[in-house]
Amino acid sequence: MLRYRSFELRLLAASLIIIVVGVLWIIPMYSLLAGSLKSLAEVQGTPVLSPPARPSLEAVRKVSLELRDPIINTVLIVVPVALVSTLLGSAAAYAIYRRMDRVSDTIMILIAIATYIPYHAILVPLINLIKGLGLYDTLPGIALALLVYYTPMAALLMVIFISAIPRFYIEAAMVDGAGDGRIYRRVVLPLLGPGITSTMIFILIMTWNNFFIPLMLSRGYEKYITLKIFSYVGQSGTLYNEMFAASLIGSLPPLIIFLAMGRYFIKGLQAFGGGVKG
Amino acid sequence: MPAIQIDSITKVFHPNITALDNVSLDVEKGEFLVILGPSGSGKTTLLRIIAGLEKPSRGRVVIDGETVVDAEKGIYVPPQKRDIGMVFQNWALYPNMKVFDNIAFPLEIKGERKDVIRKRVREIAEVLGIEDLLDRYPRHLSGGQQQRVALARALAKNPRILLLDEPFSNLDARVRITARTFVKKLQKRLGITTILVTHDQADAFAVGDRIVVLNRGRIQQIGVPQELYDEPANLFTASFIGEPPINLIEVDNLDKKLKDNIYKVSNLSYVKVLGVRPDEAIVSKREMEAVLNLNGIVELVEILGSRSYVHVDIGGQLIVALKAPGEEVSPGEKVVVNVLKAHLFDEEGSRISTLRV
Ligand SMILES: Nc1ncnc2c1ncn2[C@@H]1O[C@H](COP(=O)(O)OP(=O)(O)O)[C@@H](O)[C@H]1O
Ligand SMILES: [Mg+2]
Repeated sequence: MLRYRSFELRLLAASLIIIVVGVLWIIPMYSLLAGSLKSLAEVQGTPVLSPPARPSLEAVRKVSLELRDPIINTVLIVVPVALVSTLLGSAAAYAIYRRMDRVSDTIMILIAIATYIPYHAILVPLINLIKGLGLYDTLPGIALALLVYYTPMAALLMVIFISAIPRFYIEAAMVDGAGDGRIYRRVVLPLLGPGITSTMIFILIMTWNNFFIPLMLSRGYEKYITLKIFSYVGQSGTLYNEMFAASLIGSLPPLIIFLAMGRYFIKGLQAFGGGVKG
Repeated sequence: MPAIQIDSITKVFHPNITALDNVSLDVEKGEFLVILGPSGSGKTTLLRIIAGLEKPSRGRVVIDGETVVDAEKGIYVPPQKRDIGMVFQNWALYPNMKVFDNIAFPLEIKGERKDVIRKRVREIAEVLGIEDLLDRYPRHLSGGQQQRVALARALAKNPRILLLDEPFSNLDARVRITARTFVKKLQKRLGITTILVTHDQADAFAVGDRIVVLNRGRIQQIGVPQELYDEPANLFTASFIGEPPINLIEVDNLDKKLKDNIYKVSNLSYVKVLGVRPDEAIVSKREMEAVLNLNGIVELVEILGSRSYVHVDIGGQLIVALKAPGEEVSPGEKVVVNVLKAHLFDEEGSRISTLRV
């Protein structure tokens, strides 16, 4: 009886937390939506949380046309970056995993440092590198910089996913005669499916939201979605309803990706705990 | 030349666990050798060292005259180059590959042609009776089927040695018995030098040409199955092998008359423990011709179908022995335990002698 009560209490507490978090999360989304549907006069004259008196799609329509090219550019950058950094990261992770007993600790610490370095610390050399390659203000330039910055993070995540793969699969392959390249391709990679998807989604969202790197590596606002959104601030007085609309549209792709792929993301996260089911 | 020479292998794990302590052992060509020991005795570690998945701290392993590892000389041949087939305790079938691809994997690595691979996989699948499973994924197979697939994969490339780590322990009782017979017959048919490790004496006796008894990383005894039962080298082997387990009687705890009797019949004054197998002593109401006649009182009678074991209290120590056929005894009754064979152990636990009628 007592145990049942405490279970109920915990369920109640959990539900409360979920509701509070949900509300906190939904408020900005709601205000984005409300703001995008208001006219400029209304958005400036009413509280952010009040619903639009006469909803209008005008701002959204105007902004989506303007956002089209930056979104295409951003997709052209972040999709290859997420793909390549995840694959590079998984290969690096496999190499680390195989030498876990010897070098692991130092390398893991280096990767962790690389992951948590603030942009500002590496930005100057990174800009120099990109400029040196003649890639300043180009899509490949931004992509390369993002790749350099996010690959360690992908490797770090993949190390965690790879560690969840039982070692005996790799040992069985060694006894079967397989070298490291083949073990990685034929045994490890197929077992990493959920980990790869999770890492890719994570990098996609991180890069999509990145602002600083494209800012430093391009002129104008057309090459990256976050820059474009930023461009609605300021110019000749802020167009708040258009800024709201731009933010709303700009945050849709990561949201859609997450909703569509969330299942795999969760599956990947579960691999942390359970290991791979045989 | 032996197929495998294991020479003074010691393995110390970080920080200070001695998993193997100076293990030396030769395996003959075509032999089915079983390493038998309780959990944690170092069986898997020894197998992994032979396969090259683990490096010994000291000692060397020679396969077919080729030194594959020598800790002192710094020689180490990786598993890929040892030409060994191995079945892991949990079979370790690649979950993303169908049975066919699992078996084909080692052949593919060898660079065999597609049609050669297909032929060889079918061939070995037929030997193992798994032709119908080739299109399935491992997760859709029963334990017994997975084991056969693992065997097929290990044998596909025709390795010079087969290593089996507790291959029967994940099978339920009935499948287990058929699997033992199957593996034994297969090994004889292929004539492949095989080492199997197990903690189960029934496994060991069912398949082993010779058995190595391992405890705490040390070899206790090497011998053919009957030898281990009849002439245990020490208290560990004596008590680890045999079902029901051997009776161990502390000589010091016996009454003076009996003690003197033991010293007299054995002619040895330093006997510490007497080992009597339940099947080598007969409980009866009368004295029979025996090495020793121990008087006691019946505590319990255990009926196991064709035979019955009687638990007898002999002056404070319990001894289990076979009931004389045709006699009836019941708890509280006075009986004689007629010992037909007794092993005598010294203070260190080594067997010094065996008395028989
Ligand atoms: N990688 C390892 N690191 C530390 N200790 C180990 C390792 N592998 C095995 N051991 C230890 O070595 C001993 C022998 O283990 P193992 O060979 O697995 O025994 P068995 O297979 O007979 O059960 C055990 O005490 C075990 O805990
Ligand atoms: Mg083991």
